[in-house]
Formats: sequence, C-alpha cells, structure tokens
Amino acid sequence: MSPDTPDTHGTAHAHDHDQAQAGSRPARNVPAHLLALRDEDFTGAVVVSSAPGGTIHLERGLITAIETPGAPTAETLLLKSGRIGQPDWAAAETAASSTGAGDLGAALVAQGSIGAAELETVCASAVFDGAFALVLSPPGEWETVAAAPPAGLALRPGIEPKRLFEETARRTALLTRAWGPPGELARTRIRPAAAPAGAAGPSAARIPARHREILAAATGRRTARDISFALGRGVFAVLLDLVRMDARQLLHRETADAVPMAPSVAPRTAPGAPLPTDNGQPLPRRVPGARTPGGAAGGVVTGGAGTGGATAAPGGPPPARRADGTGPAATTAPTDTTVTTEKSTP
Amino acid sequence: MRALEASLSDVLGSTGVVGAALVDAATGLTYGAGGDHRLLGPGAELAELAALIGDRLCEAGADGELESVVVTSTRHHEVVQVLPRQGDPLLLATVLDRTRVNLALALRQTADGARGFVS
Repeated sequence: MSPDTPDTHGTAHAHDHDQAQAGSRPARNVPAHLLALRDEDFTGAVVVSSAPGGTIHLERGLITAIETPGAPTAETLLLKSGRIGQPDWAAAETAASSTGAGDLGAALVAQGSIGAAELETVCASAVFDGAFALVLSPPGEWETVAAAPPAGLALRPGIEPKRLFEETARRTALLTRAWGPPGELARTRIRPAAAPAGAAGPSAARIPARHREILAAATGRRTARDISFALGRGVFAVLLDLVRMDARQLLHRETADAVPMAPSVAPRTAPGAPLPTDNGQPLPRRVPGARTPGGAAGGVVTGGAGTGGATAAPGGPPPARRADGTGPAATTAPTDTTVTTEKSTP
Repeated sequence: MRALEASLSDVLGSTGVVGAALVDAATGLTYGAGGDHRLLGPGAELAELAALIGDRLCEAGADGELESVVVTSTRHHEVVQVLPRQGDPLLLATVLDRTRVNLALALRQTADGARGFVS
C-alpha cells in the first residue's frame, strides 16, 4: 500500500475493468490505483485478492473503510473492547434498518452508545490499521467494483489516499527500525516468557496494564493479529506493544513452523481414490476393564480389520493417540494401523 | 471527521489555547489538529513520549496511570492529557500561551473540553 513498497512481485496487475476506468494506462499497484480513483471522485470499492486481502471502500475517492481478515474492523474494535455491548449494538442495527437509511453509526450515536467524535476516531483507526494489515503480505490482484454495498461503519468524509500511504509507510518503517520485518513479527506466535523464580510478585505489578492484557491473551498459538482480534485493539498497536515487551524480555516468540498446528480435518484418502471399506466387518470395540495399568495392553475387539501392520512390543511406547489429533497417526496413518497397534499386544 | 473537528474547535476556543491536537496514544495517529500545533511536534512523538513516561513510572513502582504531561517553556505550556476510554486511550495535546492562562485553570478547562472526545 505504501508508495515506498511498490509492487515488485509481478503478481499484481490491474483488472481489465480497472484499466478501462482508470484511464489509458493501467495502475502500477493498489496505491497508484487509489490515487487515480481519487482524481475521478470514484465511489465504490476496490477488492484486493491477496492473502489476506480485503475490501477498500471509497466515497468520492476518499477511503471510508477497509474490511480485511487481517485486522479488526471498527465493529470488532467496539464490541471486543467492550466499548459497546452486544444488546446496544443489536438495538442500533434494528434502528438503522428500520429508518431505511441504514446508517449504523448515526444510530449508535443517536441512542447514546458512543459519542460522534469518539466513533470517528474508532472508524479512522480501523481504516489505518486495515491498510497496515494489507501491506504485511505481498500484494495480489485487485478489482474495482462500482456497485459495492457500503461498509457497515464508515468514516465520512473519508481519508485522503495520500495520507493513508504516508501513515502506513511510517508504521512499517517504525517497526522495521525497532524490530525487523513487520510481516515476520505479525506471523510469529507469542507466549509469555518463563518468569524467573520469584519474579511473580513485585515485578509483575510493574508491567503496564495493556502489556499484562497481552500476556494474558498470548497463548502460544496466537499471532499478533489473533491477539488484536481477541482484545479489540489494532494490529499495529499490538505489534508496537510486542516490540516493547520483547525488549523487556517478557515474551517468548515461536515461529509458526515450530508450533503444532490444529489437527487436520482433511480427508485421509486422496481425491478420486476409492474410499476404504470395512469388508462388512464390525467396527472395533473396546472391552471395559481389558486395558492393563501398563497402558500397552490391548483392549480392543475387532473383526480383524488390521492385519498387516506394526506390532508393538510389550512395554513399548504407548499406542498413538487418535482422539485429540496430536499423534502422528491422527493425520497420516490409516485407522487400521492404529487398531493393530492396540490389539497386537498380548 | 466533522464531529471531531467540532470538538477540537471547542478546545481551541478556550482562553489561551493557541494550538491543539488529538492523537491515538497507542499508535501515534493524529486524528485532528488545529491552531498553531507545530510546537507539539508529530503525534507519533507525543505518543512515544507518553508511553515512555507511563511505562517508566510503572516500572518504578508508581501506582495508577499517567494522567498528563506538562512541559513549560518561557512562552508556552505544552500540555498532553491522557483521555482514558474503553480501548486504547487518546491524547489531547494543547499549546497554551503563558501570558494569558493560569496553568491550573487551563488544565481544568481542557479536561472539560476533552469530554467531547470520549463521552
């Protein structure tokens, strides 16, 4: 998004429709395209299809909202931070739809849930945070949609594209200077550093409240984006705090590859391959009390589905776990291998 | 951001206020500024300053949260007030003409004006 980070990946190109709208020369990247749309006083949306991608809403060429899975929207900021309760939000939605205008922001202000000025600050911060989230990943293609529905909560009048680019460049440069590539930090999973012995007392109290909130939300499986969604804060704000906390050695960083992912729910057979059959045999069944305290005894009665596999020696490693998906058999080994492992021990 | 500009105009209308800016305390984003606000410097620096002071006070064992930072020069007071809210706080920064204001009264006055931003 930033003019300092031109599209050099060779993947972004203007959609044919864009080229027709933006003049004779296609825009080089999304920022150039937004500047061209500003000159045209364009109203509509630009849909960016990178990962995570998002939708940039424009009114008269000014950016009124950015919706992306990479950053919380104004709605998420208000609800997750607890600034507005769910009942008030639902009431405002009802009021907005009943009036026909559909202006959710005006309804929230009218019912006293939030002041107009504060709502504008929340909407503006969501726009800048959305733009920052978009530049954390390589740019992709984009498409201009003139008849796009407006964003749920929009900033009116919107923000000049040039100002958005400057602020995004500042944020990127600040994090790069303080830590390193922001995209890398954003993909890092965070958990609190192991506290040294005796450090839980006075020193814990000397951590600022917003840092303590992040530590409480950092489970080791969450990235900065996940934490920002959980707390209802901006991604950039969380990243900035993470850099400060890292300098104080409050964090343990883990790259995404080092953390076991959630169990796969993909089918175990290749697409098009014949599904495994049970040959008419009944499903394996456990016999209560048959498992010995040693943990390696077989308590499974089966119709003989597993006949060709591994045999665990008595006293050997416990059988692979299936139910929680943490064992290798959960995603790679066929089911009958697991059954064989359990029943083959005398 | 019409409502925000209206609230900022109210602050600028107070006696002795020659410049004002509303800044996000976490990100340093300047939401709005008016009058002679150049003395305040960029919003990012204000946020950095407030975060530095607040965090160091906390590390030093001070109870409570940072409320305001007052910098006094021969001609001006520069006042940064933290506006707490649900979520990241805001900073209302004002430049006050020393010859025209009493600092204590001005702090109270701008605190009243700040309600327009977080009410």
